[in-house]
Amino acid sequence: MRRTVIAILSVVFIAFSLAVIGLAQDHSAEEVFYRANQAYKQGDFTQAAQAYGQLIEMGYANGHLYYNLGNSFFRSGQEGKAILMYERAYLLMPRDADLLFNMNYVKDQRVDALQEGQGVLASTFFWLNSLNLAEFYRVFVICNLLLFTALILRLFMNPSWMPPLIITAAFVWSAVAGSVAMKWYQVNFDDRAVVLEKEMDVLSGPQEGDTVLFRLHEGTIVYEERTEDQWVLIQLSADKRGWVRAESIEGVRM
Amino acid sequence: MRADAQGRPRARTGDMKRFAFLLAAFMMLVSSSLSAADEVTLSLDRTEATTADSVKMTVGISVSGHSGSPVIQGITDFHISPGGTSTNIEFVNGRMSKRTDYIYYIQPVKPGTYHIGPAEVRIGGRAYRSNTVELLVSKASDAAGQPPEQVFLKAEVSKKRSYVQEPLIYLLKLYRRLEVGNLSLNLPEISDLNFRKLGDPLEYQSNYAGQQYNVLELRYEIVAEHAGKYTIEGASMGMTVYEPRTSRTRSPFSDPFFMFSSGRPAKFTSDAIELEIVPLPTEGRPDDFSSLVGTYEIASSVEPAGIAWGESASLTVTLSGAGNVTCMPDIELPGIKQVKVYADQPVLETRPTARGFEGTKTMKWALVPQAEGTFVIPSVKVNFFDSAQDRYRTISTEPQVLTVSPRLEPAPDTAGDAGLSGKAGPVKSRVEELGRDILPNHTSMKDLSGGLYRTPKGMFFWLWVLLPPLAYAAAALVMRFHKRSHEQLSRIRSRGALKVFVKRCRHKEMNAVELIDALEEYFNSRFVLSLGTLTPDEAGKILKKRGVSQDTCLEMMDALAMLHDAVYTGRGEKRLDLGDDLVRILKKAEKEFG
Repeated sequence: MRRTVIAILSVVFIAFSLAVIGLAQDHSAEEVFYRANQAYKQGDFTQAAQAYGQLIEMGYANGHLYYNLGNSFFRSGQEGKAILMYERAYLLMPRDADLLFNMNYVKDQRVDALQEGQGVLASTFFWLNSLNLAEFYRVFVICNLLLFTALILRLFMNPSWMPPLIITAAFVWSAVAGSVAMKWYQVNFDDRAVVLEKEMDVLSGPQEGDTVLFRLHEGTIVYEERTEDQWVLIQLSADKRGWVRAESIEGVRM
Repeated sequence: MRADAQGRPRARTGDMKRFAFLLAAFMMLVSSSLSAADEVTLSLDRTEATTADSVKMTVGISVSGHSGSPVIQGITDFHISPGGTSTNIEFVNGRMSKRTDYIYYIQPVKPGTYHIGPAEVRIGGRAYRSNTVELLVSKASDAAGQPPEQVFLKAEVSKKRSYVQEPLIYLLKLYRRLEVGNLSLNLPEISDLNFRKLGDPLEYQSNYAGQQYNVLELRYEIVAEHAGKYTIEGASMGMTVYEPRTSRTRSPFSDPFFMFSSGRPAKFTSDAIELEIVPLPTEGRPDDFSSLVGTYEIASSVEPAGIAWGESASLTVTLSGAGNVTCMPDIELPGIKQVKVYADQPVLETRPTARGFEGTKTMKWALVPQAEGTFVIPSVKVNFFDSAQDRYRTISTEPQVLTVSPRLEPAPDTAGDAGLSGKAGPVKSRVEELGRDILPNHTSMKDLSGGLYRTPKGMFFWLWVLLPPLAYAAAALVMRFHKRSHEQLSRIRSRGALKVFVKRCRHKEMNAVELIDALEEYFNSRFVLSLGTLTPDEAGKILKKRGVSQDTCLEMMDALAMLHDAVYTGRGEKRLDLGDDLVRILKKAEKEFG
């Protein structure tokens, strides 16, 4: 009996401690968020960017924080990093009107006149850019629930409308499951990267002395192919490929 | 059909009028279409020749009306032989075109560059003049002392010493004084030397060593990839040669076609040619030299040069010339502040000429200014090695100016609205953009958690994904277990049916009604049936369906028939000694069940 009481008290103590730690962390995050917002309002954009970055490192990575971080970088004159953060925010909240407005505005400021394609996956399955991965998960959970509820009902009753209902539910379930898989691939295998330097030479090989093929400017989006040592082979279009130093660009993938 | 006063049918008069109208319309159409394509052209079959060659000159007249022979200027240093006229009439899309070609063969007297034309004709008191063409005449090679042959093949190159990537002209001429046919050509194959055919073969007449020959000329462009000394082996041409008849008696047919005998196969080979290809000089070579060799020029234009803000202009840069035209580089336009530039795909057009390939590369950019004002489009440059002047040259475009005026606002059109509603509404104006900036941060505390965009945690998500199929699997298992239990219960009950029957029969002697009742109870329990009355046939069918042998089935049917006989003959209450027999039959049947 005594042992049981001790065990119960221990469990209660541990649970209480965890809750207190969690609350303390939440309060700490709220403080950092408040501090970041204040710094941004007061024009200290570098401080604001550091605070938003700290929140993301603390595990609060979401579209709003990436959006705020992008704004802070843009205000501090780092267009490349601003576009990078906006692209990350776009993966998390693709329909946010503020984000779309700011991203288009900052992209308009770029020097390189290049038209960005959506990629084969996104242009073929056009609805992939309408929702983020979390929303696709939720839609799939709902479809999953509907399909298996219909199947369970069929075990107990079999009215004439049940087979077409199950076929329709199975079709929708398959389409949503496929979309989830494609979205997951799109997010986790995103090979886009953003040029962070004001001006960057693209070389014919992974060495300093190699021929300069063409020149890119801050904010331009390129596609990473492979990495060798501190060099990355990038592709801009079918006839524009070359090597750049790894620190000159940063991948959009989070 | 009704007739008029003269007795002629009216309908025919109407047809005649309609025909006359159509004829007049056709004549007007023909005359208008003839006058629509008035022109006089002058052309030569080639642009280069030697003093030994004759060149075919054609003056084409597409002017309606009667004309005399054309008067051609610039041919005083030529021997001229008329080659006849030909007239061609064509109907294309309802339009008639007539063209008369006057053909002449001209042979230059001395070398030089000649500008031939224009040709002038006077028709109906009006003078029509043609274009002029240029003919480059070189001195014919000295063939004196060589014994003239009836057929031979001769090869020439435009230069014996040239630079890497500099195009050369390889000329192959078949001289013949006999009829030949079934021609086939084998060109020499040399690595690092690329042959490209220049246009169609030419046929003309030329004088060689005092003899008149028909000449078939083929031209090729040669480009050397690397420096060195090359030997172009002789090209060989196979053919069938038709010898003239040697018989003194003339054929009854005087046609030249019958003056040649049947042909003999022959093969002719040209002489080998030595070539020396030297590398391009290093002195004066630009750092960004793109291996372009030849003669080129560049031009640029902005169209339109003045636009309103929000509109776009097009910058066109044209690089054209002769040489290794496929090496013409893609020009990169330097960045222009406050102007967005969208490059179009460059277009390269090449055309073969007597002096090699000429080409034009057209590059276009769409210019979208981001502000009002005047923008200077910087010049672009191209380097190449000028093989005619033996030096590197840089050519560049002139800087272009693009003027961007304030946006033109369309005049408000209120008349239509007033007409529709009867009352003019407020004058509409376009929403004007006065400034550009980004939108502010998201500072709400709920934005920290991500709100709707938050990704579900792993366990939570998988729980919702796996729970429905697990629930379905559990329900299906329960249903299956329930069904199996029901079946097992029935089986247990059916196996107990015989025990019940035996128990009922052994305790006492039973009458026919009781035995039938006991049998019915056995069948219903054993086979999960709900029979009211069990007939012998039914009992036999039920047993047979369960795999019981024919004999056992007949025994059961006989026994049941006896019981039924007893009942229906008034002996239903009488005790019978059939219980043990029935027990034996049923035990036997139980053993035989499948």
